Amino acid sequence: MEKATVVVIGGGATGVGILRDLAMRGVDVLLLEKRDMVNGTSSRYHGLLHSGARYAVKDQEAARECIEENSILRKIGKSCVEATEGLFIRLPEDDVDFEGKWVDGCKKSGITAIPITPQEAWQLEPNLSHQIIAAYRVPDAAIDGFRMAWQNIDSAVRYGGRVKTYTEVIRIVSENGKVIGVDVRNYFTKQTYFIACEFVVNAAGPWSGQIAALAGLDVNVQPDKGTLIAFNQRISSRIVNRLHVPSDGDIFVPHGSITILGTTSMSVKDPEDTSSSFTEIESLLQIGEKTFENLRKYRVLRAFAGSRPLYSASGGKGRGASRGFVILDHAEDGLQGLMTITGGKFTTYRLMAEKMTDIVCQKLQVTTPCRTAEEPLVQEVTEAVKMKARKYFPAYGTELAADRLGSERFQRVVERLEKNPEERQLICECENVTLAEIEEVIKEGTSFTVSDIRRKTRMGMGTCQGNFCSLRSVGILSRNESIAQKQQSLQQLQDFLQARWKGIRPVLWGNALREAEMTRGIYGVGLNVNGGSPK
Amino acid sequence: MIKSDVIVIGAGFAGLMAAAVSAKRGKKVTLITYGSGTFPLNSGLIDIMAMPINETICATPIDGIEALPEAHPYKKIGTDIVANAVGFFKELCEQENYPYSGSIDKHQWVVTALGTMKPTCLVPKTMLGDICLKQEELILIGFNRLKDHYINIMEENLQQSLGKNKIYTSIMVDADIDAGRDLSALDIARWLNTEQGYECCLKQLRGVVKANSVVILPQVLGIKPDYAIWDKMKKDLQCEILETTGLPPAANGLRLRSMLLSYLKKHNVTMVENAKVIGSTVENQKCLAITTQNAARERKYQADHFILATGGFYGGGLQMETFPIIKEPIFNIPVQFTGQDEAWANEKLFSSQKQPFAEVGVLTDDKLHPLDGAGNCFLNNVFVVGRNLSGYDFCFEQSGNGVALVSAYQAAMSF
Repeated sequence: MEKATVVVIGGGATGVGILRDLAMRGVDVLLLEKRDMVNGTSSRYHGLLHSGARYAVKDQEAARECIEENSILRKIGKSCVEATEGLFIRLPEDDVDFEGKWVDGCKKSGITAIPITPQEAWQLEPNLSHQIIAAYRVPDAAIDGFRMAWQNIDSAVRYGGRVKTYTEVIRIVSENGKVIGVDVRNYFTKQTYFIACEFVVNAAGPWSGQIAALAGLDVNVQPDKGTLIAFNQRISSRIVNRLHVPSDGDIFVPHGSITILGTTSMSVKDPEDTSSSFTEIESLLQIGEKTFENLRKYRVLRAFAGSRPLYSASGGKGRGASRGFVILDHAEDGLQGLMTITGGKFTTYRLMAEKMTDIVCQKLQVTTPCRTAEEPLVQEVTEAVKMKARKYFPAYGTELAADRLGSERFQRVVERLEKNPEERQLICECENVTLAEIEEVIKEGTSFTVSDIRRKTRMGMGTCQGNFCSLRSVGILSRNESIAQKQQSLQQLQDFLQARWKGIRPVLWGNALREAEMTRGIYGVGLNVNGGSPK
Repeated sequence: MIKSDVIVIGAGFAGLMAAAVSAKRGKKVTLITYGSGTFPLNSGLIDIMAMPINETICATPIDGIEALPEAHPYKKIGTDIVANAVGFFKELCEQENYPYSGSIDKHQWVVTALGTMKPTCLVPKTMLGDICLKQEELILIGFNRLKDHYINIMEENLQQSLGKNKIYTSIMVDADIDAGRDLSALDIARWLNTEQGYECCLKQLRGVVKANSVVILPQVLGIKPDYAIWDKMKKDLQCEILETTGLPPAANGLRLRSMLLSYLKKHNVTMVENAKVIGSTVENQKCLAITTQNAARERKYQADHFILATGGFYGGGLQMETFPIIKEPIFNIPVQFTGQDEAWANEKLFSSQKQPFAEVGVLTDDKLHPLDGAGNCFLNNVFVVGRNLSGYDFCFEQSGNGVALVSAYQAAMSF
C-alpha cells in the first residue's frame, strides 16, 4: 500500500511551496495533482511579483507581506524573477484624493515609492499615455509562475518530496474522526486506489471548496475568473499600474518578449471555466488603451483566464473579498488531520506555505525550522556549462534554456546535445526548444500530453502558437511507449490545437487571424487532422 | 507605357491559373507578384469538394457541388464551368509532362503525414493513395534528422484508416547531407535529385523493401515537376511508391508552382516580381491602372481588365486590423461581417460547422465582378478570384484550390 505522512492536494504555487517546506524539514510528503502541475491559477495570472503597492490603501498587512516576500523571492528564485521595477501612473480620470492615501499607505507598509515627473515617466517608457498627471516608481517585478513552481518541485524532490500528477483525490477517508488516507483515481487509466497518510493539506486553490466537500465539510471559496491578454511584444520595459482603486485591466506586465494585460474579475460557478469572451477582451483593451494609447497596434498573441480563490467567511465576492489567505484546521469541525489553506496571492505563496508547514510540523512534533526563505530553489548554471552549451544552442537560446531548466536539468540537456547530434533539432523555433530538452522532460515521467511539455519547456507558446511544433511534439511523445499507451496521437494533436485555439478565438483579428488561416491550412487541409477513411 | 489586356494581381494558385487561361486565349497578360500564395503550404493537391454541408463526405466532388447553397462560388459559376476548368488544368499538366490524375466524378484518397486519409480530387501521380487499399504490405520510410515526419504516428493512424490486417514495416534512412542546420523535406528532395543522393537512399532500401509492397515517403521525390525519380524508384525497387502530404515547405506544392510558371513563360506572360500592389486608379467604376511598390520605386500599370487574386487573411488580400473592420486594400471593395461578435468564430477550431470568418470575403456577380454593399457592380472591369471570394470555407469543405481554379477560369473567360 502506498503511504506518506502528509498528502498535499493541489499542484499550484501554494501546494508546491508546502511540498518543498515539508520536505526540507524532513517530513515524508506526497503531492497529488489531478491534472498537470501548475495548470490552474498559478499559471493563469499576469506574473506580477507585487511590491505591495497595489494593496497599500486597502490592506496594509497584505502590502507588508508582499514587500517582504518580494525581496525573498528575488533572492531564492533569481532565474524566475525579472527585476523590471514598476510604475504607478495617475490619469486625469483617476481620483486625486486616492493618490495621497496611496503615498501614505506605501510609507506605512515599508514600500519605497519614488515620485517622478510625467516627463521622466515618458523618458523611461515612451509608449505611455501623454495624459499622465502623476507617476511613481515602485519595486514591482515580473515573475514566471511556471518556472517558480517547477523549481520548488525540483528543490523538494532533492529533499525526498514526491509528486503524482493526473491523480485526482476522490475521497478523504477517515476513521473515528481522524483522517487515515485518501482514495485517488488516475486520469488516464481510471484506476482507483488508496493512499494512507496521517495528514491531508488541502491546497487546491479555487478547487479547495470541492476538496473540503469530499470530507463533508463546507469551505466558502468563491472562484473568481480573471481574463488576461498576452501581446507579442514588450510594450514597456517596466510594469505599469494605474494609480487608482484597484480595478479591471489596469496592470501591464512585461515578460521576456511579451506583455500581459490584466485582468478582469468575475464570479464563476466552476473554477474549470477558463473561457474568455470577445466582450471581456474588448473591455480590457478599452481600459488598457488609456495607459498605452497605441495599444491596438500591437499584435495580440492570445487571451487566457484563471480563477482566483477568494475566501470569505461571510460570502463576499469579487474585489471586495479579501485577497489575504486563511488556514482552516478542520479539527474544529470534528475531523482531525485535515487542514485547508486558501485565498492569498502568488507573491505570498512561500509565506503561506511556511505558516501552513509550521502548523503541520507542530502537530507532527517536528521542530526543524523553516529555511525556504534562505536557500535558493536551484543552483545557478555556471559560466563553464553555458560556454559548452553555446556550441549547440542557437544565438540567444543558451540563456533562455539555462534560466528555464536550472543547473541540473540544463547540464543533462547539454550532455544529450553533446552525445547525440540528432537531439540538437529545434522542435520549437519560436522559443528555441531542442529535441534534447523535450526528451529530458518526457523522461522525468510527469508529462503525458503535449500541453504538459508546453508548460515545462515553453514549446508552442511563441509567435506561431504551435503551427509547426504541434505535429513534431506529438510525434516525439508517441515514440514513447508509456505515453502512447495512454492516448492516441490524433487525439493528442486535436486536444493541443484546440487548447491553443481557445486563447486565439477571442482575439481573432490581425496576425492572429492570418495565423489561424494557416493553422487550418496545415492541419485541416494538408494533414486532415479530423481523420477520414475511404471505407 | 504599354497597356496589357489583363493584369493579374497575385501569384498563388488562383493568380497563376487566371494568367494561364488568359494567356491561352491569346491575351496580353501581366502578372504582378509579391508572395507565392499557399504553394509551400499545400501539398500540390487540387481539392474540389468533400464536405459541402456538414461532416458527411459527399459521394463525389460533383455531387457535393450540386448540394451547395446558392451563394457558394461554385453555384454562381455553374457546374459546366467547373468541368471545363478541370479539363483545362489537366490538359495544361499533360502539356507540361506532369499529368495529374483524378476527375470530378470520384474522390481521390491521399495519405497524410499523420497517417490519416484525405479525400481530394486532382492529384499528382506520386500521391495516389488508393494503392494502399489494394496492397497488403506497407513500408513507411522516415529520414533521420528530419523533424517534420513521424512514421510512428503514421503507422498508428493508418491502422485506424486502413485496418490492422495490413503488414506495416518501418525503415529509417540516413541522408548524408551536411546542411549545417535541421533538415527539411525539401533538403531531402534536393538530395534525391542528385545521383549520389539517390544511390545512397536506394542502397538503404534495396533488399529491405519487398517487391509489390507500397513504399510510403514524405514529399522527397525531387523538386522538379516531373515523375523521373518516382518512375526510377518504382523500377529499381519493383514496388509501388507513394508520397504523403506534409508540413510546409511542401515539395509537391512547389512542383505545381514550377509547372505553372513554366507554362506562363511559354505563353509569354510578363511577370513583375516582388512588387506589392498598393492602390488603384479608378474612374466611373472602371479601374484604369494599379500602383505597385518595390524597394526602388512606385510604378503604375495599365490594363483593360484586372483579376484580383491576392488571397484571404493569410495572403493579405483581406485585412482585419481591428474587429470587425475588414479591408480589401487595393480597390477598397466593401467587405463586411454582419454577424454578432461571438459568431465570428466557432468554439471548436475543427468544428462540425463551417467557420464564419473563413466564409467572409468579397461578394460578386456570376461573372465575378465585385459588388458593393447594396448589391450593385462596384468595378466593371475587375474580377475577383480565389480566397478573396466570400461564401466558402476552403478547409471545412476541402475545396480551396478547386475554388481558386474554377473562379480563375471563369474570370479569365469573362472578358
